[in-house]
Amino acid sequence: MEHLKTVFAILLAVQVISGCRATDTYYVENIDDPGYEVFSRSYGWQVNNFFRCAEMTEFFMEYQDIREDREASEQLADRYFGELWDKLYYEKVTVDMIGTMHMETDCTFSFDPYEIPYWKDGGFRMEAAMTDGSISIGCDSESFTAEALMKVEGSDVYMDSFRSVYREPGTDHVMEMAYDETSGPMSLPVCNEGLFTYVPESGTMSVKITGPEVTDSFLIIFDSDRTGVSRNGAPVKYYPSPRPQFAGFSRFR
Amino acid sequence: MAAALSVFSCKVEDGYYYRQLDSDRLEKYAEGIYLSYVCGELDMMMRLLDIDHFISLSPEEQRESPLAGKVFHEDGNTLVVEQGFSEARISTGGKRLLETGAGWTVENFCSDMGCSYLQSSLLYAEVACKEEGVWEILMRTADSSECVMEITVTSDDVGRTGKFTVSGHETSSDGYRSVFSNTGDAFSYSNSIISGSSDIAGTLSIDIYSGDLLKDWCMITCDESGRVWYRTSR
Amino acid sequence: MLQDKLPSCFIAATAFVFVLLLSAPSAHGREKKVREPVPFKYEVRAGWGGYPVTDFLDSEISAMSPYPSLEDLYADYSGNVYMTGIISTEFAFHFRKWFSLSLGLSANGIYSKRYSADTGLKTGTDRGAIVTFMPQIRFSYLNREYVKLYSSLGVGFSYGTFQGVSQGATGGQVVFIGVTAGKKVFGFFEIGSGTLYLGCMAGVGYRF
Repeated sequence: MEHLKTVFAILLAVQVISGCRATDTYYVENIDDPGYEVFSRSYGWQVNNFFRCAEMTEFFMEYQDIREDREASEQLADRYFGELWDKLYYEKVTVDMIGTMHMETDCTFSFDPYEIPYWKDGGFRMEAAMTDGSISIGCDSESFTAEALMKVEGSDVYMDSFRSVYREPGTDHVMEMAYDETSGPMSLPVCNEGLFTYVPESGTMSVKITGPEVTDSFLIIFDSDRTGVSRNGAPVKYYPSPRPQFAGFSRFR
Repeated sequence: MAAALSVFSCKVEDGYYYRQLDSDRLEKYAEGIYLSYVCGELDMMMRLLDIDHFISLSPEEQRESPLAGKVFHEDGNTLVVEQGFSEARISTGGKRLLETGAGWTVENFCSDMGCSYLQSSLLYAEVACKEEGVWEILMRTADSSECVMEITVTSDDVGRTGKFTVSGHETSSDGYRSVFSNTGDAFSYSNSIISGSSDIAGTLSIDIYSGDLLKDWCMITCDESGRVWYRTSR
Repeated sequence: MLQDKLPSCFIAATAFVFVLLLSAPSAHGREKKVREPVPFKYEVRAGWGGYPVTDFLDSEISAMSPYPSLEDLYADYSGNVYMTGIISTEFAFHFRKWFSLSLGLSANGIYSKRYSADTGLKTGTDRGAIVTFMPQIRFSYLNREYVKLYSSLGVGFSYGTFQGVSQGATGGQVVFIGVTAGKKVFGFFEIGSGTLYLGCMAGVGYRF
């Protein structure tokens, strides 16, 4: 009995000590590039919301043509959003984890995104307009302005142009982003039955971050489920692509 | 044994003696009926007229209206009204409420005053325009209560005025039946456009039966200045 | 997410076994210290005490609406609710002079009269009970031949039914101070607080 007690006492001590010194490891590698980390954390409201807004606009325009037929309208919504659509009316549509789109005029809409930037102020506004199949989206607020031209062709959403400027509130840091149209198409599959694609499969974006103690300029290269960072012609370093920062990420490819 | 126990037992909770049926209790019941059926139906009618007016406005005018962002079209004949935590559904039959012969069906309506003891999810109402300025409202709840109101509405810049009669009944699961209606003259009302609330004058009489036996009765009278008084059988 | 840390349950299990081994009496006489033999190994008790700290049976739910419904107007209502006080029986094992484990089964009766809202006359009586199983560990710090002073701590489970509501709940009991008077046959009196009773309990017992 006494021997047993000693054995267990030692076992206990060993477990407690080794337990304290173990560290958690995460399934992704550490991101050691601050520029990419900033891009990745802001991707949701800087880029993703524009793709989501384009999908909602495309759907909402298509819905307006058949809106008197409720059954057909609901089937259309199921095709795009699966079970995620919540409210579908002439005046607005709400999709869980994506956002709400309101009709302003026959072909202009305002978009209230689900993935809200932390700096969102009272003046935040995101608007979309459809002209001849081309969707122009603008985002306006005190800290952030952006403009994009997008279109839905076949089963893909294309970003034809994109420019944004973010001035961090309370600091002098500025982040500018633009899609490099010469790099090739930037697109992702249109949402289908509630399954969304978060990041484009191809395309390059230029990012420039300036501030009192920082000047960083690099290219973001989208490549399926990994994203590359390229600086001054150095070899591309790949990281896991940005992911949604909320619990609904299972709805995203 | 019982005597011994009562010496040593301790009281752990007070009894619900306030539930003894007396004039206070009957007055409370009468107030509940009055608020749910009389005020509730009147309020719903005024709101439906507001909604009917709203859908006739241009998009720019709608943006300025207090109902902006609350009334939506589900299809050509169905409106959805967002009411805080619930939604009312209105089937219009493709007609405006002001049109003679129009019949609107309303489900789950909840008034701004708060839903009275009639759970809004059980509420079902049919509103028919019998002739210009005259409507008949039939309101029903799932547990077999019904109230019919016939109402006249005259609108001007300040609001709406008119008269209405009510007649209805509700039945409890243990066989009691309460029958209520306006006594003598019709109720008169005036509804303010600014506040949305109505002043009502008239008397509602309620008789409670168990089988054919009249168990209790109460009457609630309101005047234009908002004074209320009761007469009860106990 | 993978974690390199050893599952905390392994640490907990090891600690539990360690503590058990420490507290179990040694089978072989290898100890240096000679323990005094325990005078009585077992004990039975029966007592009667107050009513518990909380009443987890929420029988009469108060109306949500300020206005009575037609059904409410004529429904029977409950009068004052009374409890008989806890009637408790225990069987205890004495491990040491100062330490024993008791297993208790007790019952507390509940009753109230029902009245008709219409006539005000009594229409019946509602009866129910709460039955509790509660093991307690008892520490006695004054052990004379005829008088003992003790405190105890227990955690148990109660099940009650009254006015159509049946519910179980876990509970606990702390006896701040108790006294027994007598050697084999004894009377006891204790003061405590918990889901058994709040206040005091008294009774008789027998040791063997």
